[in-house]
Amino acid sequence: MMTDTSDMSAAEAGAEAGTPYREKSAWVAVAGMVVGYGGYFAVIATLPPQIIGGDPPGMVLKLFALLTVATIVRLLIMGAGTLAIRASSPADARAPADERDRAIAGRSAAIAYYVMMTGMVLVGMVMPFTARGWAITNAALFAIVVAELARYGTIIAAYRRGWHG
Amino acid sequence: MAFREKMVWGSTATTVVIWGWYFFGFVSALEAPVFNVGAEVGKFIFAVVALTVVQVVLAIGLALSSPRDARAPADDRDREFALVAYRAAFVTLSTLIATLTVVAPLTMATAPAWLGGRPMDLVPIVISNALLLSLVIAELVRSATVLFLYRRGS
Repeated sequence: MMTDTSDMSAAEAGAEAGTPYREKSAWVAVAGMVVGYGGYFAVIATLPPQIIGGDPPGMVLKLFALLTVATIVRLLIMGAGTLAIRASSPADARAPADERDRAIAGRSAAIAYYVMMTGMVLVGMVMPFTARGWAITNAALFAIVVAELARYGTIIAAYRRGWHG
Repeated sequence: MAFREKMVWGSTATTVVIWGWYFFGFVSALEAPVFNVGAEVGKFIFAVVALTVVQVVLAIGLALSSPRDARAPADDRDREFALVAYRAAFVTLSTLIATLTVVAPLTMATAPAWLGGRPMDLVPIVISNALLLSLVIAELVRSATVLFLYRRGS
């Protein structure tokens, strides 16, 4: 049976054949964030509160190095994942974003923006009165990770549920 | 000029004036020999309240001056402009916060040098104000993007 794709977006047409490229790309980004920064926060969670809540000498550079490693892991996963999905669907990867793709990207960014704004209000205006040192930095980083996950989660949900942004 | 564009102009002007006043005062306070935390918190609360009151008054004034426009729902063009602006603001905010998460530890590590004998309590206050400035800049990028799109008329 033939499928009429005349009024479908490129993403919907792609979805007919399998997972759309932009959804795969969002999954790769989620994997990079979860593995990279999940690992970072897992290590942080094992540290005693007096280290995270204060600024013991020498810890700044160690935590900074850990954050750098987490970022490199994230970028490596994203790079390798992007190369893999580009290789598996080169035509989809080259296709420009259509109206639905742009609407989904805009909607997901709007949601993520408010998540990050809320996080920053808590981190920047509440935490200075209750926390110190790396706790504030880590909370800011956590807010970025949550906001990015909200963005990619919205993109994935939109493609999987057929939303139009 | 479209009603929503007027609203964005008003919001932008209010943001620039009130947060400009606050941050100018904050930098001046940092340069002073003694930093009064209570006074700065008071200024911050005043800025938030003033921003809210002025924007509400502005919205009421604009709605009274053109009630039909104020009641009209956002059309496709308005929604598209808003979504494009959110993307620009989100990228700006992410970049600024990511930069701060890198700079903040270095700021903490070098604090004794740049504080010049003042209390270490200033460090989280400076960092929190840098975060606040990031929010303000992101909001200004959002407003500027919307205004640019309305002006361009696409």
